[in-house]
Parts: sequence; structure tokens; C-alpha cells
Amino acid sequence: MFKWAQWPPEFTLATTADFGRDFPNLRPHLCENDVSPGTHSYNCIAWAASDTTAWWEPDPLYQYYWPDGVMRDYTLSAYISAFRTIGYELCDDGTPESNVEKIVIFTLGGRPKHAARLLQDGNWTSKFGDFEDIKHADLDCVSGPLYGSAHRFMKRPVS
Amino acid sequence: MPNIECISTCKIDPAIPWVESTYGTVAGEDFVATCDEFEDERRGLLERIFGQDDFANIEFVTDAPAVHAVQYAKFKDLVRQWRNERGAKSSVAEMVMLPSYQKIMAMGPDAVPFILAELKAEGDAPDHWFWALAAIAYENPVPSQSRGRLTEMAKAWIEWGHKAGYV
Repeated sequence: MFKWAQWPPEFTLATTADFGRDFPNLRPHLCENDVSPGTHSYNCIAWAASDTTAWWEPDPLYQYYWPDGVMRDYTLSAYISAFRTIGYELCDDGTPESNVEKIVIFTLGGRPKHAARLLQDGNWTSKFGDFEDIKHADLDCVSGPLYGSAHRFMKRPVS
Repeated sequence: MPNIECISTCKIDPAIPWVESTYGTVAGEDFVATCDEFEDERRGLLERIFGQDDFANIEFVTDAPAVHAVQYAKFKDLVRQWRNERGAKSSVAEMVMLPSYQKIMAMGPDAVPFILAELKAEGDAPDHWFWALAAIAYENPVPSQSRGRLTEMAKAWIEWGHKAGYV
């Protein structure tokens, strides 16, 4: 199903100077179409939460969205708590299950750096900072020095 | 040595900041120049008005607006650097730690009108200037229901800029 032989022009992240350094495992043949335009409007955390209306971030200046009642803290526990507010609970892995949505939080040095969402077809979807989101075959391909690696999985019933 | 009031009305027009023009007055004569051309334009005008010999004897007594233009050019350069450097970072907290953004924040209140002009120019796709504004101004005009909604955040900050006299 993955048809890209090379990065399409609409995936502009691939044209940036540090792309190869930040994503050493990301290859076109591991990714799929449906590239949405790059936007500042939401980040990977929001995208994992299926929210394209707000940028999720626990900033101490109270500029960005963070669920009420969750500590504004750049820690794994705060991020897990944020996803709990929309029905997710910790689970063991990212294996697809029927009628279940899953997300994964990436960490680097114990700090949350990225989140991705499991699609019904068994692939994952990630939003890259201010850049585009893509569908990717596994989690290793977005791991690296920028996002770290997949660390905590969470799931919730399909609503 | 004559004292010449010059460039006393020079400013960045926040309505069209992307033009990067400066508007100046040298001894009553108006001129427009890009930031890059600013010093050359000012010098050329002075030379035309006063002649080469007199020009050598002019002492600038009101030069703050020229400093303003130079600061704006520096700001725009830092903006370009920041956009090139930040890559796919998913957290604004990491983006703002880049040296270019830190230098913008270090400009302090002088950067506020530039940032607000940048926000206005970006329209429906505002960039992450909110951290700098909140840190410099020590204010937060963003209502809780607008947190994370960047166009609403930009609107709140621009309105704040109007009330505070920055825009």
C-alpha cells in the first residue's frame, strides 16, 4: 500500500536542512499519501488526540490549550493525564484491536517529544511540528534524535 | 559644526511591515527606503541637501528612529533564522529555546511592535509569537477558551497591542 518512491513535494518537511539528521529512519516507502498541509494550528499531541482546532501544550504562560485540571508540566505523567481526559488509558502495546483507538507517546530522556495515533488499517499517523502529517508503517521510522522513541501506549474504545 | 534634526519621523509602518520600508525625514525632506538601503538613502539625501563638504560636518542629534530601523532589520533576520532552525519540533517550549528566538525576546519591549506587526501580517496563519509576547509584556490577554487556537490568540494579542498603544 505504500507507494512513495520518493518524497512528494507537498511533504515539505523532507526539504528542510535537518530532516535527515532528525529522522534518520524515515523513508518514502514506509509512508503513505494523505499529506495534510503544514499548519501552526495544531501539533502532534493534538493530532494524536484527534483535535485539529488547537495546539496542545502545557506551557507555563497559559497561552496554549491544555486540558483543565491537568498539571502544566512537560512530564510524561502530565501528558498521560492529558490523554486520560479524553478517555485514554495505558495499555501494553500498539497492536491493533477492533473497536479500540490507540495512541503512543514518544519520549527522549524521559521527556515527551511526540505522539502518534494508530489508524484502523494498522498504520500510524503523525503530525510533524508545524509541518505536515503523514501515515507511516511503523513507529521506528519516526524515532530518532528529535522525537526519541515510542514509550507509552494508551487506548480507548472507539466512540 | 551644525546640528541637523534628521530622521525624526522615521518608522516601520505596522500596516505593511513585510515591505520592510522605513519612512524618514531629513531636515524636513521625506524619504522612503528599505531597511537595507536605509543608511545609504539617508546619507545620499543629506549629501544632496547639504553638499559633500557640509555633510562631513553634520552632527546627528536625533538618531533614535535610525536605531529603530536597524532593530527592525535585526528582528526580521532573527525571524528568518528561527524559521529555518526550528525543524519539526512539536513543542513551542523547544522552539523558543533556539538562540534566534531568545535574541528576539532579549530585545524586550522594543520587539513588541515588530512582533505584533508580524502577527497582523500572518493573518489566519499566525506563528508562535505568543510566548515572546507573554514573557516580555508580562500579560496574558488570551481568554481561557482561546488557548491553543492560534487565530483567536493572535486576535487577543493584537487587541491588547491597540489598547497598550503598540499598534
